[in-house]
Amino acid sequence: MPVPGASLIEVRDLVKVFRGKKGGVRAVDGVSFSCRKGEIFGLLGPNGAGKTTTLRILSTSLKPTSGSAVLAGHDVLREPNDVRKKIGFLSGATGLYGRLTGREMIAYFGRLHGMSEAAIRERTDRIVQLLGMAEFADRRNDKLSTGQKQKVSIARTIVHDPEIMIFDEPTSGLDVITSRTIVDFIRSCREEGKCVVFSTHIMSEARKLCDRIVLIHKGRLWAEGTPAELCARAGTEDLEDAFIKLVQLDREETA
Amino acid sequence: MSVRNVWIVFLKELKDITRDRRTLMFMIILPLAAAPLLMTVMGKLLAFGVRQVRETPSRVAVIGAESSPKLVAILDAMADPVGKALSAPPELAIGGLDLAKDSSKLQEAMEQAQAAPEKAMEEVRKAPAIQIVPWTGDRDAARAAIERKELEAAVVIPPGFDAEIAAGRPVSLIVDHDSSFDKSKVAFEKLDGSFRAYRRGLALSRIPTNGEVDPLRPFTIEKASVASKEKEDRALVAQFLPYLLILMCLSGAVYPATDLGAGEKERGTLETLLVSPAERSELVMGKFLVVFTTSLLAAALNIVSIGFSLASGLFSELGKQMQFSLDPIGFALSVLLMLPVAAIFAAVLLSISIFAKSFKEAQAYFVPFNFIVIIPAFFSFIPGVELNVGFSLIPLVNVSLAIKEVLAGTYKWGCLALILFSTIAVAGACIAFCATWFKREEVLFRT
Repeated sequence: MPVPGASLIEVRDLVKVFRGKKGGVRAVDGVSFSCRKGEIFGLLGPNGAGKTTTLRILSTSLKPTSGSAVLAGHDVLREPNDVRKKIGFLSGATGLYGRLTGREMIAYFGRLHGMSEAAIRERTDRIVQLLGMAEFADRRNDKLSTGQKQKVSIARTIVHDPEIMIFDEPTSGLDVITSRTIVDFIRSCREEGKCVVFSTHIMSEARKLCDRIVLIHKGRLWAEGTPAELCARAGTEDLEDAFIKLVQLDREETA
Repeated sequence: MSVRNVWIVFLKELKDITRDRRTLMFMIILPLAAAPLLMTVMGKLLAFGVRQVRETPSRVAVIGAESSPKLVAILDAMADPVGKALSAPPELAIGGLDLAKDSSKLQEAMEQAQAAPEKAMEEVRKAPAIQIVPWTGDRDAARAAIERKELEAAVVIPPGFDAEIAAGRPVSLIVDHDSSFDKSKVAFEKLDGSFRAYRRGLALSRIPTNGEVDPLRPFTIEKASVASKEKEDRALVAQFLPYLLILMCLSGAVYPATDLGAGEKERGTLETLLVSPAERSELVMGKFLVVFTTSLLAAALNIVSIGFSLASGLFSELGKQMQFSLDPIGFALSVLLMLPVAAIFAAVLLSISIFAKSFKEAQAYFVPFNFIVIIPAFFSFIPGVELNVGFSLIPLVNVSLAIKEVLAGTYKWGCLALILFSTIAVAGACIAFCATWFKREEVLFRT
């Protein structure tokens, strides 16, 4: 068991090159950071900055070109299956199996995580109660409202009680009320002492939620610190202004 | 690879797709209903069309009517069998009799025909076969009218036709028609039939006969095949069954393959699945087994449905009633040969599907693959193509030909073993490819 406050994610010099028609694209270019237990860590950047790629490497669905990422003591390249057992992954683009019910969906992922049927039943009952899903847990997913679907998604993510939660733009495309469900859920993860990595391009969301933030742009890290620290460094009041200022500085350098 | 995880994926996917009405449609209803429905509807339509053409009187012009009252009488009888049959020459009635069957009736018929032609005529024709169009123009005008489809045929009687025949000199009768047009072809057949009957009657009346033997048929030829009716029908079925089986196997795999591959991407569930602790190879095998199962199920249901349709005579509209029974060894061998074929389809379709970003894209890729399958499957239809070592090595062609032969009761064990092993090898390669393919980032996360 990790000691409280211990680092659960260690990312070193992560590089991901996608082979394209015109040579390679360095989607992630030497990213390093670490993330501790009981902390919400934000990856902030515009679309195409490399956030999703970074998180996909952390969640083992993509392999890094070079560098390393160690989650809860397991390397993503050497022990991807052990990493998967420790993480819960949720993205804004995540969908559901429309023809299954919430309960079946939870059970499916519970089984894939190697849980026993008894453990799945117990865990499902707890999650259903926790998220207030009793009313719709046995209805087919394609008959649910967006908010209900999000709850099923969350339930599926936490069936195995992971230590690390990875959220890739979890609120993109959601309305205010549904977003709130997600935001509340992210906070509750921190309260439970989980390590949370979270990517977004919405500055206000990052400021509200994150304990620490890295600014990411064109695959590189630009700055790291608490929201307040970042604003102070850029000499702005607002995180958004800070971000734009840092990006402009980059343009001037490359020009 | 853990069998438990493969099983978990298999059960979940099976549950998922069987809850979809579209899958049930493609997996169960279509293969069950396709053959009987298609055959009955097609058969009925064909029969309807043929009746339409045959029962509508053909419009016929007669040129040179004055030179042959006898032919005119025949034509009149064809146009109005009840009323004007009286005037038809007795030779027509005699020529219309099947003397091979009714040789004893020849004398009787001749007498009857002389005495009461109308009675004999009734047996020859019952409904008006033609409609005589009054014609004052020449032959060229009639030919032009046939081309314009205003006439179906024109009978051109040369001058002195009856007299020439009576004198025993050669003479020819012209029937103008359009051989590229169904109705006109039918008109020709009707006229030709009547004229031949008349000619036969004339011939019979010239030859002295004892009334016991048809003088134009001193002996008959008996068509004696060593194959029983059952074997003959089996060979016929063996021709189209491999083709249908292969195509049904494919169509049974298409929908689940789309759903299990591209469907995961379209719904946004793929990434979640990839992040679960199940290995990629376990996910692929689970999915593969589901597609494989549905493919076989579709093929099996199709055989059942065809077998049932044949046995119950649903195809009789298309021709004769079939005596259909499957030879158990042939059937077992066909099933054995279809197993690796279904595996190949499942693996290839799943690979295509997982590469596609959406249902639509996957279905677009399936179209060319369909053609790739149809051509080799069609080999069972080609007459005279027999299984040999060369054909045994061509994927799909070999199975199509092998099933055709084993269903007809020919077992070339060497070739069959070669086919089975080579197809299993191809299937294994396809499954291995699918599994590797499923591990590639550029396939799973195509942008």
